[in-house]
Amino acid sequence: MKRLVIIALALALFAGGAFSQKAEWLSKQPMPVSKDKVTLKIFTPQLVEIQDLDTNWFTKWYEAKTNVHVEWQLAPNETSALRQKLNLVIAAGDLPDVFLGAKIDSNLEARYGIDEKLFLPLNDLIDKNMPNFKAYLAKNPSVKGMITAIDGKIYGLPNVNECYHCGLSQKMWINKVWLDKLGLKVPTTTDEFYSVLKACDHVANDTGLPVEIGMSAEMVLGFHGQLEYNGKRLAGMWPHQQLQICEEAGCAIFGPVSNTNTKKTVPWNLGKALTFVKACTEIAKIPVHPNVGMGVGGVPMFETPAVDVVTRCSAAMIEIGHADGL
Amino acid sequence: MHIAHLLASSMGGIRAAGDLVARMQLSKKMRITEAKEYVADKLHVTPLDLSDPTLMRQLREELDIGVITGVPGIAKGMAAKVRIADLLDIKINCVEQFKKKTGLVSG
Repeated sequence: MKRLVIIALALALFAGGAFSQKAEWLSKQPMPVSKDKVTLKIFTPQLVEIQDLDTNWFTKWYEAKTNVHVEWQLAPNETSALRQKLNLVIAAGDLPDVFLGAKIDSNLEARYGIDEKLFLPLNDLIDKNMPNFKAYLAKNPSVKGMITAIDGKIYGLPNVNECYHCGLSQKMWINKVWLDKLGLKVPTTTDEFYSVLKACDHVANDTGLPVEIGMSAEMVLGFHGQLEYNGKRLAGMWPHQQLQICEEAGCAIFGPVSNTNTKKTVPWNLGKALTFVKACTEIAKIPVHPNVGMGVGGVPMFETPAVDVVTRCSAAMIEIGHADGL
Repeated sequence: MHIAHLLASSMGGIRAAGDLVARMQLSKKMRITEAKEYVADKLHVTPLDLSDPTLMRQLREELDIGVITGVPGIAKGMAAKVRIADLLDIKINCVEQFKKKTGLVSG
């Protein structure tokens, strides 16, 4: 039994190479593993990708290399059916030499390994016969913790896979053109990254491309008060306050809005709109282009507003409101 | 409605000098008075002249910076914009991109 287990370990070491990232074979076991042909019974789920494990190219190569014939004991791949077959095999006493990829979780491991002592502890065997895996465990103690049962014994060998693109899926990209323009190198620390962001923010406001910000109402709702800019809450801002925020943000032209109250007259609506616009133009450092159109800026809400109304509002915005445009 | 706005309060756009004044507001964030004074200075006219379509038509043809009607031989589109950028001493983004793509040296 012990002889079979050692062969199984050597096979695993040779086949997987999972324990060494480079082809530095430190195995003390030369090939073939046994001078005489021996048979190893392996219980494993039938994968759909493999047509026939007996005739599989890798199986044949493996057997020729190691002089170990593998007798495959196949089970369904579907988890519940696999578990059922596993339990049946163990209950019947028809134990294989190795369970390979049989999805034996910690509960089964505790039951069959610790309680019923059906699984062979591998600690000493790893120590004496698996130098590559032993070295890997020394470098990765967390892996050892994961494969060690509560009684301190190791009953199974892991499939080790370092998936870099899994762990680093959330990549960040940076526009190097901006970095070159600023004479900065690619940031390597969070402090450097913050500095790059501040520098890019400055450049973004200095590209020469004008940004015109037009509002949609005289009062900002600001997402139930959740939105802020430079520490100022946007909700509840009137046009003259919105203007100041837009100036801070670096916009080139600000477009205030005064929506028409359809229950009121044109003079009432125009008066209201002009009040907002004048409050803006008196303090504005940038051009103010109020929104004047269907239902806004004093103009009534019609698809074809009367032309005399439109022209009155338009002229009033310029002459009384001192708007810089529309 | 645009026509109503145009007739009631506009500077006439490309018919006069409204487009030039608008460019100064956009590119240099100038308020309208400042923008008019700047453009008038560049064109060697008074700010009031900027809204005169007759005067401005003549001037625009002389400077070849585009006119409201499609006159053969007179600059239009990108050609007019290149001249406007030079005249007003401003950078117009599409002009810069055009120069880059065509390999023309930026003036």
